Amino acid sequence: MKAGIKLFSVLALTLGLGVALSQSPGPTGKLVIAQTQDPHSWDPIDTFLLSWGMVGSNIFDGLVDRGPDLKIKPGLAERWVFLKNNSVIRFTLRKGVKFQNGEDFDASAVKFTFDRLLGDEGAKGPQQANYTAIKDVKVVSKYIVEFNMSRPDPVIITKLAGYGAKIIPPKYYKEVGDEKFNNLPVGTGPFRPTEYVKDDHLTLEAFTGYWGGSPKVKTITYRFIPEASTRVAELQAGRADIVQGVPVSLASVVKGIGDAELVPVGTTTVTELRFNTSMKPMDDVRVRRAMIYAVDRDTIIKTILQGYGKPIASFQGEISWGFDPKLKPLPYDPAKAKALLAEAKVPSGTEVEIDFTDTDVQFREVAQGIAGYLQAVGLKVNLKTFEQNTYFSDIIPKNKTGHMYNFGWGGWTLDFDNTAYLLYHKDEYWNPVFSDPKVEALLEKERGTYNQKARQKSMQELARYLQEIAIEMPLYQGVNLWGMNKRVSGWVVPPDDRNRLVNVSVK
Amino acid sequence: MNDRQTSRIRRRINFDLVFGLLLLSVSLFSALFASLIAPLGSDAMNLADRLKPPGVDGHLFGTDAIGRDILARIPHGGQISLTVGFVSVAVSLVVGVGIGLLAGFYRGVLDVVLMRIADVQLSFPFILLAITVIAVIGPGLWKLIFVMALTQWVQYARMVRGQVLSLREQDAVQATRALGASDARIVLRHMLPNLIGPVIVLATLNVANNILLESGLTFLGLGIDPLIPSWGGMLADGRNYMQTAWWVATFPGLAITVTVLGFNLLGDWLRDRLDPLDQGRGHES
Repeated sequence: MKAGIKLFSVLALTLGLGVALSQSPGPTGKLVIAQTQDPHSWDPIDTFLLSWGMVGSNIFDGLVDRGPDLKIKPGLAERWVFLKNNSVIRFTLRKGVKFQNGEDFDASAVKFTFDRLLGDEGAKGPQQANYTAIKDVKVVSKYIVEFNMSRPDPVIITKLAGYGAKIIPPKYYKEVGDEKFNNLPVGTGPFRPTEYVKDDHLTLEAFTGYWGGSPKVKTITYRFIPEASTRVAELQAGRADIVQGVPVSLASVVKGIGDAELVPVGTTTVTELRFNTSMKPMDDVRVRRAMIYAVDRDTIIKTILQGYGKPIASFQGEISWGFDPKLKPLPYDPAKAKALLAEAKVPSGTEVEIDFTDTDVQFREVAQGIAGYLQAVGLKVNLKTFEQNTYFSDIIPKNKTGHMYNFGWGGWTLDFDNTAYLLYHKDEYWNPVFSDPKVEALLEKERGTYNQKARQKSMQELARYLQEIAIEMPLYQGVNLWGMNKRVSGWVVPPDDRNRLVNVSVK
Repeated sequence: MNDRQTSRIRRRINFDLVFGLLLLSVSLFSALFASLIAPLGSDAMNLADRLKPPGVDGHLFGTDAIGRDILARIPHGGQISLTVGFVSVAVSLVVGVGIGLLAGFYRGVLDVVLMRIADVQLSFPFILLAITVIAVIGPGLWKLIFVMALTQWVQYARMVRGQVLSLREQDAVQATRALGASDARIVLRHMLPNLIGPVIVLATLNVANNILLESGLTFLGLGIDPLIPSWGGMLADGRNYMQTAWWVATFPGLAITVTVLGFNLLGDWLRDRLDPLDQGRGHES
């Protein structure tokens, strides 16, 4: 114990924090996390990136929470009830909750959060689209709010656990303005951001007044390291305690580090090659199907991914609501691929392009494997890489991609509705070109009801139809590999990258 | 054979030349005869054979993560690297020497304008410019060569202009002019042969430099399509296997070293032989 106090005082002195020793046993130690990407804004309504969720889940809370077991549980709302034929949802809020700056959490914060999300400020970001079924939020009393719904949204409770619905402090936001809030926001979560250097690191300090109990670690530093081998090298050198995104090619290296271990976790994230149907010859369904038949996806999973992945038939994983175990992936059949290409009069040597991001070393191998298979059926493949942020904010949404492009989807609502609507409904951010009347009709049908059985049926039909018209080449449901130093304890690895660290401690 | 003759021969044929040519011939011949060394081409992939160590199953240099034979890819990669090296240098040399001759010979406004453009060009760090340009126009072999030529003509232009400025005042040139020779004749017959030596030295060293730049940019994902075998791309493929499959990055790395070292040694030797300012220093090596 004495040693512990000594260590703590040394830490406190060296960090120059001037923490009163009488506060012990408060949070101690420093945790360093190396993650792949800097989302560039910490404002919850500006983002859709898993790299935000990894951090943001420690800063903010929503009315509803979802833990590492992916089950919905009360967050800042203690309970909720659907009223007036499902057109109103009434939330009873948790009392005594404070924001990290000391501001009280109450109904006015909830109203402010949703007014901002559904207003002009929210329209600038990608999150508003998830919450448009909410007409407005009414403050009933200090700890009761009501959501008036403009139309049914069967996934709304899950969505309230999502990024965009994280509750923010009205006074602090008005005081510092949007720009400062993007860099150093305040929430009700267990850690408060204290220092942010873009593309380098973000530091969080423990918030001892957290309603869910004091965190155990004093400081968390997130370092943004896009290069996978560098992240692993930092783990090897002991300069990072938790490392996100260990590529399969480095799995054995991490296993070989004496004081670290490899932590694989099955995820909801699915990976595909999306076809750009506005380009010739991808506008021909026979060509699109031929591409899928041509590629031996099972072998790619077994070899390049070393089994860290599962084949998928549609763009969703097994726990997604709408998943159809009877739907099987199109088989590997190069003869059929060649026949289809011949039927569509695609000459041998036709050039097709595959796009992906330049730091994704894993997909770089997968892409080369796919290219090899496509070359085997007579196509000429060009691979093109883009810088990550350009790729997701410009190339894909503005339809500047080549014939096929790599796309991954977290499927955070665990419901195919969200995926399907944002990816296949016409004119959505992620769907600049494709539109199909049957898809629109099935989406409308599914969205119009809270009847879960009927919804499931519509979504399964949709998945089957999407496979038939081959809008994409579904590749695999991923297994995320994390590297962890053994001095870390109490960490439950989340399948959705929402890394909650309130109970994590370091030796 | 007297002592003087022996020492002259020794001065001409030294370690730089022999070893440089030896290294270069290895890389040039393997690139030229790539289709003989690897008759199946460089794309043959077999996922079941991935990451085989050197010597296993007839893969002398082993296979990479996609199951491609590394020995087959290296000579094909050499074609790309040497193409980049030679073409980029040829383009910047022709443009640079042309501009240098014009600016130095005619002086005046033309000289001022061309040299200020050169100053602007010199003030951009290459990597920064390359990353910016490639981010805008996208990666690709010929775009890479374009960026290199865009940044390197200045070196030749500066050097040639300086030489021309001093040559044009020399008696021989003045006499030729007095005899009524045309501008073209003075430049091409009397100046160019006198200044080409240092240009060739610079060009040789730049070939090596550009091969390294191509590898560097491709390694960063800014260069050539990962499917086209290039040494930089192969290095990038191998970086995650440094600790588990060393051969993936080692052999392309060696190929780069051999080629670049070869060009540098040859360049050094040429400098000793051709650069008038370095005459007489040949004894030292």
